[in-house]
Amino acid sequence: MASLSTIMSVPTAPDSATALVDLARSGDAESLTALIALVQPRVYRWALGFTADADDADDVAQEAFVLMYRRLHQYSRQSSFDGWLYQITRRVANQRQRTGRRRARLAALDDARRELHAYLTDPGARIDRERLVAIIMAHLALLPPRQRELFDLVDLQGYTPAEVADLTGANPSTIRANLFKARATIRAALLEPLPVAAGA
Amino acid sequence: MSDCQIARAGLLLRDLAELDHDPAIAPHLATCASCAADVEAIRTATRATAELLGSHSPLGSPAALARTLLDDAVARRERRAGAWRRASLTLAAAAIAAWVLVASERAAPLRSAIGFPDPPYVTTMLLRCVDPGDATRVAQPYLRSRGSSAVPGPGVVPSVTLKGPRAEVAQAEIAIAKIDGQLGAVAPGACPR
Repeated sequence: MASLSTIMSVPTAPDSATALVDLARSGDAESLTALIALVQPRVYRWALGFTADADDADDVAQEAFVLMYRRLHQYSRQSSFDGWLYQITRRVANQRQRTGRRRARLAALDDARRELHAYLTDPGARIDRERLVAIIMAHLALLPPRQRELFDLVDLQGYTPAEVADLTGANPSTIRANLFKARATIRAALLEPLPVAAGA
Repeated sequence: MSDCQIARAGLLLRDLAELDHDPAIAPHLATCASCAADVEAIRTATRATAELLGSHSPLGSPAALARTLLDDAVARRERRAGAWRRASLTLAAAAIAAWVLVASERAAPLRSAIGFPDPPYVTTMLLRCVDPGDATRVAQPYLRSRGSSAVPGPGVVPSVTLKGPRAEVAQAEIAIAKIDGQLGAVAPGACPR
């Protein structure tokens, strides 16, 4: 069986990104296009993790690129380009947080509970992926922002804790603690109605 | 704690890939169908969520986005240049207005109307018969403003230099001229030479 890490390949930050940065700074359109093409998928995926909405993620990603280009001259090679860009994306996403979002998440949780009930009462639906996804997404949305961010980066995007430390600037023990809490919440929600086997 | 409980505890916290290699859990998962199903359910759910989120892709093309960014940068530069131009023109206009206000003769009524001090006026009077020291003492009561002064001239040519607002200097000039006989009759005893 393939492990998660082989399913979710994490695009590493290639040296070419920093090389393109130098050319893009000078206003070279082709280099800027190449740089955006290189990092756009992961910026968008980061944004999706923050917003949990495809349209909002698009807006956040575009805004992040606008900020990236305006601040490109401030980027120093002392930090990784991915880490620098991740911080920009996170800042943009945080600025766009809206109060209505939490209400939508709570509504999604009710739907998920109904789905979970159907899942438990219908053995034939045991491998219903969509329902499992709905359960995870609903509980993911209710996690504190830091736990949600780390669960998304490690368990859903496939980053290693070391890579996450580089991206977020958090220390490894904080990452580990938050990741464990997030996993426990989400996995317990998935397994809660399933009692631990009595035997063994 | 039963093996199932140990497996459940591991399943709640650990990296799923690690469970298959954990000597405390892996053997149990190989024999307990229930726990193996739990692991598989979590694995399936996590993988499906990752795939779902990974299946979305951004709408904008990199080329179009790059063009937008470059256009935005040009527009920002032009806005900044425009702001500088406006600021420079405003500064130049303010400097000209200030110069007119401070130095122009025509602006004297305006200066006095707004209480803006006139630049000090300086003149030197040649004296026909009054002693420069006396002329200085005559002038002093008229030169009341701060910075105003009357200074007797040095050397063989008797003179006095007056400095102050134009109106005060004019009054001092008239007073000295009267005593010095420059306006007609000479004051009694004023001209010993």
